Order: sequence, then structure tokens, then C-alpha cells
Amino acid sequence: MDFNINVFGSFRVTDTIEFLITDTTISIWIVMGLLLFLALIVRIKSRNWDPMVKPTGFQNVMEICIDGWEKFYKSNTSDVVAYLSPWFFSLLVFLLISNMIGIVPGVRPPTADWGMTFPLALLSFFLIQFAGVRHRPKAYLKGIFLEPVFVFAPLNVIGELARPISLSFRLFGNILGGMILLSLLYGIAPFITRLVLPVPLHIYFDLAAGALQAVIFTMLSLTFVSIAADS
Amino acid sequence: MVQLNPQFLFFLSAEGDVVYRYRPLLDMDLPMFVNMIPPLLSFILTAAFLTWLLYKPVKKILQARADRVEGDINDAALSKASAAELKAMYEQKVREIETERAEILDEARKAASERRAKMLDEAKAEAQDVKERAARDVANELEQIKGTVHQAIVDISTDMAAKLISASVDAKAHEKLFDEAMAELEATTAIYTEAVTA
Repeated sequence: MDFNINVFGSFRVTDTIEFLITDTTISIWIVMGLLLFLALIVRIKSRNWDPMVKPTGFQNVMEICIDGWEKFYKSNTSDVVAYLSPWFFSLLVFLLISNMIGIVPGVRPPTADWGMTFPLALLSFFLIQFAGVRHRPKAYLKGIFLEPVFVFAPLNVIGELARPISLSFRLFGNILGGMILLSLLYGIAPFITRLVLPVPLHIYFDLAAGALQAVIFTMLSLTFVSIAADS
Repeated sequence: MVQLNPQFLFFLSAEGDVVYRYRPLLDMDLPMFVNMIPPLLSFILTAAFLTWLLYKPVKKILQARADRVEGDINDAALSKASAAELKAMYEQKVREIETERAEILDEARKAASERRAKMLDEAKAEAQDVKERAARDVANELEQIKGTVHQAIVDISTDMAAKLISASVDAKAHEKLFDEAMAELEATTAIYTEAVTA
């Protein structure tokens, strides 16, 4: 069993900078492809969707998803960051597919790679800072550097910097843990039972825990952003 | 320069040997952070396309429907307000009509009452006239009858005197004549009384 990340190829820019084509890269391409395919279908079909006609089938499903998300987002965030709703929707969908794609044999979930989860957490971190500085710059910066007193500023800064680390490791650890457990089970289970035994674990680790972790990551990110923008 | 891994295609070392390459799970060095750039851009690209191609079109439809529903609700509220205003106006009209009707009825009742009183007065006056006329007629009739009776008494007295003179008058005959005269007088009086009563 090998939990390292396979490198399929590389693109060397300089002697020190080399972009690798890994399991994660392929998985990300698959996830991107799926999502772009879905988005294209929606885009093409939506040209014929009439808002005055009762929605059915695929249109109904998409409307339920977007409407449900909007309600969820509005109930959990401040109105001042309503414009970020599509961003967090994309994050949730991307993470859901990424976490669950491990159910497909041979495909490694992109989120089982810290190289994927950390950039996502870093984006959330920058979004938190952006929201805080944009919507209430004085209060936000004062909260970091002067509260409760200025001597706590280093602790506050460390607390802010810890957020992306914490977010990324939580998601990475959970997904990698599930993947490792399943790999171990595949390794030790007799061949004949490999078709049956992992099924409940796949359902739990890939589907349930995957969905849960995607929601946790998104929920924490949007809560931090909302708090930063409007305490 | 692009290189490929021999596990799947081939990957050559600097010396030309076939090598396998793995990336460690958690390496916090420059190559690791450099290799975070493609996933980062991939996600940003995916989010942009999802927003543009999926989220906004569906949101636009939802918004159009919400606007339509809101418009319908506003229209319904306006129609309701208009209907309420119309209802109030008609109710006011009905109240005015009711008041007018009551006034007309009162006036009619008053006029009828006045007319009734007038008719009653007229009837009473007419009845009084009739009564007075009848009384006058009765008095005239009485006078006439009195005259007639007087004449009859005169005639009877004349007859009695004639008979008294012409016949041999004895006490018995005298009594008989007197009785006959009295009977005629009574009969005349009875006629007179009957006429007066009628």
C-alpha cells in the first residue's frame, strides 16, 4: 500500500520550479470536467426555461439546489456579504464532488492531498481578510491588533494565520483517513469479500463523511467571512 | 520541458534511466507550495465557470419568478384595496339610499296621515251637514204633519159638530160620537208619531 501521490509527469519552468502532474491533478481535472459539463448543460438548457412556467425535472432540481443554497446562505451570513454566495456555492459543490469522487475505483480524492486543501483554505483566509478590511476596516484591524489590548496582537495574528492551517488539515486529515482505512481494508480483506465489505465504509467515508467535511469547510469559511465583514 | 512518469508512460533520469516518481504526502517546501498554484487556479476557474454558467442563469430565473410573484402580490393588494374602496363607496351609496328611502317613507306617511286627517275632517263635516239637513227635513216634516193633524182635528171637530147638530143627541149617542172622534184623533196621532220617529 502506497499513500504517496503518484507523479505522472512534470513541467519544468526553472531548475527549482517544476509543476507536477499527479493523482491530485488528474482528479481535479475530472472534478472540473464534471462540474463544467453540468454547468454547460444548465447554461444550454436554461435558455429554454421559462420562469413563468412550473419547473419540472432537471430545471426543478437545479432550482431547488440554488434556492436551497440561497436560503441556507442568507440564514447563516450577514447581508453585506450576499455577493459572495456564488463563490461559496462553487466551493461547496467542488468539495462535495472532490470528497465523494473517491467512491470511483482508482480515483484518488483531490482533497486527500494537502496540496489541494491548503490553497482552498488560503483562498478562504484571503476572503476573510478582504471582507473584514472592505466592510469595516477600522473595527476589523482594531480587533486584530488592539483587542483586548495591543499586547495580544501577536496572539490574534497567530489565531488568524492558524485558520487556513486548521481548515486545510481538518479536511485533508478526514478525507485521507477515510482513504487509508479503505485501502487497508482492501489490502487485508480476502479477494472474494472485496466487493461487499468495503461498501458500507465507502458509503460512510466517501459519501457521508465527504459531504459532512465539505459542509464543515464551507460553513466555517462563510462564518469566518461573515463575522469579519459584520460582527 | 515536459517529462512523463514511466509507471504510466516513461520517465527518464538525467542519465537516461527509467525512474518512478512520487510526491510525499506532506512536504512543506518550495516545490510543494509551487505545486499548489495549479489547484488554486483550477478551483478559481471552476468557481468562475460555475457562477457564470450555472449559478447566475438559475438565479436569474428564480429572481424573475420571484419578481413576477411579488408583482402579482402587489397587483392583488392593489386590486384588493381598490375593491375595498369600491365596496366602501357602494356601502355609502346603500346607506344614502336607505336614508333617502326612510325620508321618502316618512314624508309619505306624513302626507298620508295629513290626507287621512283631512279626509276625516271632510267626512265629519259632510256627516254634520247631512245630519243637520236631516234634522231640518225632520223639522219641516213635523211642521207639515202638525199642520195636517191640525187640519184633521178641525175636520173631525167640524164633522162632530155637524153630526151633533144634525142627529138627536142623547147621552149615549154623544158618548159614541165622542169615542169615534177620539179614535180618529188617536189614529191621526199614531200616524204623526210614526212619521216623527221615522
